[in-house]
Amino acid sequence: MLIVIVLGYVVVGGVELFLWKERPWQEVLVYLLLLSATATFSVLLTIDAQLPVPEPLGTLWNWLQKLWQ
Amino acid sequence: MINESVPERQGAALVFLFIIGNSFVFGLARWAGRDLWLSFLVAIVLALPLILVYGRLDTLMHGQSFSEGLHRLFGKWPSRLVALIYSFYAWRLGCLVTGNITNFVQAVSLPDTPQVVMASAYAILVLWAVKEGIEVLARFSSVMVIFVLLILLTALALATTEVDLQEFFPILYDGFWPVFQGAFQLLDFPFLETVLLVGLANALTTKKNSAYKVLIPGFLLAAFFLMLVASASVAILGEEMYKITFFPVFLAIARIDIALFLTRLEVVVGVTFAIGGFLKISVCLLVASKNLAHALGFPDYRFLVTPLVLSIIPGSQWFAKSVMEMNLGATKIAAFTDVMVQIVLPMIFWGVAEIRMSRVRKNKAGKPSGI
Amino acid sequence: MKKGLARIFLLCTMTIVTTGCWDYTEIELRDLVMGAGVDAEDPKVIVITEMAKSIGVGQEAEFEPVVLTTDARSLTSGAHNLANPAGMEIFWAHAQVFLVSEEVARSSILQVLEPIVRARDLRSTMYLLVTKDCTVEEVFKSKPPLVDGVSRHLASVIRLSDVTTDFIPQQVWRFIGDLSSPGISGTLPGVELVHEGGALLPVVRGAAVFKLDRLIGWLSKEETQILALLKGESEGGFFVMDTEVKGNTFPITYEFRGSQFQTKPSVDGENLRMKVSLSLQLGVAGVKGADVDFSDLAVVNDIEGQVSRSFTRRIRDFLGLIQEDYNSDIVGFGQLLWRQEPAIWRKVESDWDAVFRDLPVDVDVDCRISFTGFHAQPIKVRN
Repeated sequence: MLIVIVLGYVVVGGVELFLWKERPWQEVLVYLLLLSATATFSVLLTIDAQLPVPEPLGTLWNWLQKLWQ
Repeated sequence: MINESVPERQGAALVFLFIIGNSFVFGLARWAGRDLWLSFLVAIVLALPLILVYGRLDTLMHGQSFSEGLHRLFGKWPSRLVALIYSFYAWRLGCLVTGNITNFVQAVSLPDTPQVVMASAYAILVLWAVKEGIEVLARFSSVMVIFVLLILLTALALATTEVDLQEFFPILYDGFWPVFQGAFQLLDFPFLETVLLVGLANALTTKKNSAYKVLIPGFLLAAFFLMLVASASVAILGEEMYKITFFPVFLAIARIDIALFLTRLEVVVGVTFAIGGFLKISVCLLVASKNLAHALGFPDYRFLVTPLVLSIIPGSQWFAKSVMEMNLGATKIAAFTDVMVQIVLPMIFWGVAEIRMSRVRKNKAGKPSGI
Repeated sequence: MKKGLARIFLLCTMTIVTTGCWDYTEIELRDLVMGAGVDAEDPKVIVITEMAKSIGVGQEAEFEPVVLTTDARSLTSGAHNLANPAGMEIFWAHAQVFLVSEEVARSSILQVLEPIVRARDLRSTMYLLVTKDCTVEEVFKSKPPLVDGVSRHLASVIRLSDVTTDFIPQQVWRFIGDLSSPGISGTLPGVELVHEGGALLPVVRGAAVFKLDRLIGWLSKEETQILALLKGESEGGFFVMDTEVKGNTFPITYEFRGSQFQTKPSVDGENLRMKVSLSLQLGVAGVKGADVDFSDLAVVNDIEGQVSRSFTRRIRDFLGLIQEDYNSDIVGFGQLLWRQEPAIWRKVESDWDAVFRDLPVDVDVDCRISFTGFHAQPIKVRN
């Protein structure tokens, strides 16, 4: 399953890059970084469906509440 | 940057569909129970000033592309930080809406289809729409708004035989507090999610001040329409049922039975939900891509669309892991994150923007032209 | 352009609305449940379903009812167990009636309602009924005279509620509404088996009275008629009343042609009263040999007075029954109070059972004979 997912992202990325008319290296770099991040995200979620959601603002809020008391 | 512009009417349709989008199927303002129409009125009154602020922000950026406008208002690095925050907020909202749709479809009609399949199908459509840009989305909404209104209003008209106005009495039996709770929930979702549309500023404002003409009618129409739908659902289902069910409108429409012939119309609710949800996800992803492009310092956003849209497939399964969680998320009273992004940050931006703009104006006035 | 768009809209709408598709399971693979019910056998429940077995294809297709029974720990698990004897996926969305045995209803009807509301494919427009003096299985195994299948028979009887007041039909959603809102108790129509020419026939009549979620007693057909009047659900039906005409008593048949009903709470200091006013429009359907001339106003007035007094008495008896014997507010006086006088309801809410028991009710009935068929006088028989 994981291999299929990763392969899917590779194929999408490859095809899309191939279709670009021009490929400035900055854009290609950012594109590849984001795509690999997305792929990692998908893989992580496939491995563990209960992956916790980080809540930086939630932590801040809890901290403020504690401060209040 | 490609110059994009959208006629006011289409813009208003986009705002309307964006607010209605995924929200009407939920038990909006269920905290207020039978007094929810009061919640709606309170929420509309509370939301209007903020919508005006959003409109003012749009107007201040008038005539410039979004990134130029942001840059001019806040300077280089602050504007990039702001863009990043909103990009993330938009992406998160897009994921949540996708999750709503996949959960709804699974709960209602396709229990055996994995949610990922639905999410992927949606992602492909959204990918296309976002790459086409705001103009296509606005045209899409100006056509679909008729379709959605037609379907829902017809369904509600047919349901009038089931309406019992006694359900609204007694008024304010439990006091004002539940009404406020309901109103805050409405502000949080879906009214103030309009904040995202600030990101589409230059496309939505063809003339100066036209931001108001897009946001205000779109918002008011959507708010009153939601009020109608929710009140009708309460009048049909009764307060208790409205409170405990996940999708009250769906249940209310299911009650329609015209002479044993016209029944099972709830399918059409699903259709409108699919249309509205699609538009909302597309707008969210459009805003997310545009903001991210600005944050990273690129003039065009289109190359960012694919990875962002693909990430809503896992994202939709991430934020809400079950239909209960989703419902809780949609009908919570207020979340810290949302309050920050929807109210606090826009107010700060507004203040900063006004001060900077007045300085710019003063400088211009002070300097004689031509020197 | 606009015309083309309109056409496309229309076509899209038609494809969506008129397919009749529910989801994407093949219809050959599923069995339609026409009606279902629950019997109790402590600690288990017995789930009974009546399915439609299709015979033939196309225009000649016919449905033959098949009754399946299984026992299980809960209604939901029983319903799913049925797939095995049925050999097909069971499709519930077309179920029209749901029967509950008296025993189940007496222990708590919630155990039945809760799964119905939770399930996505059971519709809240199903009709709920309670079996009286018989089990659900016996009802489903009886043979209705004209229609194939007990469920279809019951559903078509229920649709007769427009012309009869022997029972008050209750759909699932409405009954749940009565259970969950303050100041009103629910009732459900009863099903009985009667002997008719050597066969047992299911008949819908009377009402089961609930208090909270438990059945506590029954109303007869006549009492149900009064309940229907007081709930404003009476749309038609006949009744026979012994009427005195010129010193003799005749059983005259009357027909309900219309009724207006109003309840008003009135508060005088600490004393709470209910004022019930009912105005009835009656037709005369048969006089059974009575020599009565309905073109004579004095006679009509006299008869109207008799009917009014009779109804006043019947309503008083009925209120006595539900206030003192059952102490269950099935008319919804409490709900009315809650909606119209919330301030007073707040005071009596916690103590409503006791308040309701002693609640004074003024009854005011006004009857008008508005229709006497095609002629005002009886047929004259002469030597």
